[in-house]
Amino acid sequence: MILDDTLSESALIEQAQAGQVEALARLLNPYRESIFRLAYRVCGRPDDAEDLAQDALVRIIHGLPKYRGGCEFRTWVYRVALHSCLSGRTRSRETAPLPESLETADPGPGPETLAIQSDLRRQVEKEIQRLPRAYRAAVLLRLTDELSYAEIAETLEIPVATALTRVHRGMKRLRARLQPWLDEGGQP
Amino acid sequence: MNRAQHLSDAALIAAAERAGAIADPADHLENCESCARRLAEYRALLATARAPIPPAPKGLLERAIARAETEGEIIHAHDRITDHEGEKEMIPNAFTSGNAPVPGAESLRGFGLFKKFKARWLPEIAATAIVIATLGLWMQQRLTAERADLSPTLPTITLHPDHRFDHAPIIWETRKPRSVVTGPVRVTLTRVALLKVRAEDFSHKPYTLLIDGAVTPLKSGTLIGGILLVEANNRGITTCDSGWSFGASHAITSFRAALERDSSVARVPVITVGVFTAPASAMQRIRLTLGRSGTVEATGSVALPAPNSEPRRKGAWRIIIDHFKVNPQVQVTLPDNTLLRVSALARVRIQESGGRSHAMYPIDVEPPWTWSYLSQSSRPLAPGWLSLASGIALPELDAFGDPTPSKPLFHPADPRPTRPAPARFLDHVTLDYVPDWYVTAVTARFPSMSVSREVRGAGAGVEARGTGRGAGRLSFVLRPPSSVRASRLAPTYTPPSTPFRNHRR
Repeated sequence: MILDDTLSESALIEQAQAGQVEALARLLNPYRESIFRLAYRVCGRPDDAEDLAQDALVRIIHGLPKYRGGCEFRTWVYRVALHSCLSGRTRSRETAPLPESLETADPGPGPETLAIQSDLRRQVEKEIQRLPRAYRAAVLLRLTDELSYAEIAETLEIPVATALTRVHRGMKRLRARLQPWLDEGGQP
Repeated sequence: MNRAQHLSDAALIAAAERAGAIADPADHLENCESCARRLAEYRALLATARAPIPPAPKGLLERAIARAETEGEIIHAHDRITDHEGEKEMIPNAFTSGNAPVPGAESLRGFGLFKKFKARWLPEIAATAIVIATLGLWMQQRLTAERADLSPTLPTITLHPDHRFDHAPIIWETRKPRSVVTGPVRVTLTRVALLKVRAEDFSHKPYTLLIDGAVTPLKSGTLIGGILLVEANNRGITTCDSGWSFGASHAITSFRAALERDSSVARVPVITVGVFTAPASAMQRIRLTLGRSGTVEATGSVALPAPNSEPRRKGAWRIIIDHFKVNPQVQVTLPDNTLLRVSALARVRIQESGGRSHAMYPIDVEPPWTWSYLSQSSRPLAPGWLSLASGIALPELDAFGDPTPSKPLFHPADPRPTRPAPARFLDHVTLDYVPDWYVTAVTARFPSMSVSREVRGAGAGVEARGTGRGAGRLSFVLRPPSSVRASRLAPTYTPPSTPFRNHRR
């Protein structure tokens, strides 16, 4: 069956719920990058992020028949993906990312600068993961796809003011914990 | 300025996210150093956190859909099950999902009791069975792993000298705790090899492990390990006049890990490697992970404990490499204060760590080479030294084999390294062609050595030779041409008590 290119998202949802694989692919394709980014932010490693993203997509596919349209589909996708990634990360082991090999000539910053930058980035990711779950979820959504506070609130099913507070408190904690690195001039 | 007048964190975060998001902060920010600094920090934090990340892998969605189809997780509308009243939708179980008809199910359709049972109880029974089976499997794996960990038998590995590490270098960067040393440390894992170790005292269940894409059967409890060649570059320790930071301290260590899971998962979950790296450093741990995707992945996670802060575990491993292949998908453990005796195929690479290029200058140390290694946090290696722990009797260490090679090992006019005939132990050291650098010192020192010739370079080349027994050290220094004077290229000899830095220049 060939799908009409002009199908709306709601029509795609209906067809995907009816078992149309093509509709499912078209429905979820716009969220592929976002889900991967979210997974990457959660775990900080490309390999694990791929696993997490795939798990999240499978969970979304699995739960699609239960989607009733009570909220925006995008919000629902983020909600499922976020819960999947956060719960999936607890099952995975903690590892640290490894920079790529420097075999070839690199016209960019020198090794020291790169080391400081990647170290700071790694530290930021680590500290994000150390945040309390509530703050972490809000900060991740804010950082990953720059969701608005209303969207964060809808995704996490919390009031907007709470979402705002969690993001700010999470960022404040991050800044406090990363103070030594920021003091050292490790700005990117 | 009064604290109450400072801008709130919320306002600063908003300002960091979008310029001008707060009402007229400019005046305040211009006059308030504290708020300006906080704003800069928030901006840096946001920029770092939002740093570009790699795009999603190709086929991610397709694989997810295929997996969902395989697992029967795409739930088709016509497969939904409702109870008698049609009020409550039930999630179809494995027998009803998908399009394939269940054999024999048609004849039972219409029996309400069966449908009710199937819909209401079968999933719960299946879930309970899965939980019990998973629990049993997990316990079995834990028992196997514990048995392997507790085994007092040490592995015996035999080296095949013909095998080489061919894997591309892995760069690992980290920063030491500021309490230990300042500045970033670049540690290059030049080789990570997977080796198979015989451990005959425990073999309970066949395991398999993916080695270079091929499934290799291993026995349960089989120890696997490998050799890490690590070179560290520590800023501020060996810095040349040109401002380029250069230095290398090398450590070769071996590791082992017990297979804990079935290799169909292709993952060896235990990995911690103790590595001697730079001076003034405590023991470092490198965590290598076995990527599920099958890609080569060795990543660095460093915990630098304060000296003697960890409980010491002592032990002696006699390790002879039997067979290894290039595969860094290994997780390994090397505790502190572990005495190792290793017969290793060594390949040391020196990495230029400044400027615009990052060429790798290899120095080959041919196998077999036996040495000992004592991991001890409180006794770090000196910079630039490939050190052998003192006080450990080595069987024999013949550093350069041929005491009088006929030709220099390195000559700028002929970039091809000249390799003397293999000797009994360490064959030779080859310095590959380095276009813009001169080797100014290659030193081999051994406390009990009878001959110790280090350097001969007259602008045309450098050769290094030496023979010794027992514990000793091998060092080398590279200089850019601008910092090399003719007098520096003259042969030098450094007595064992001389600190390394004294002949850096």
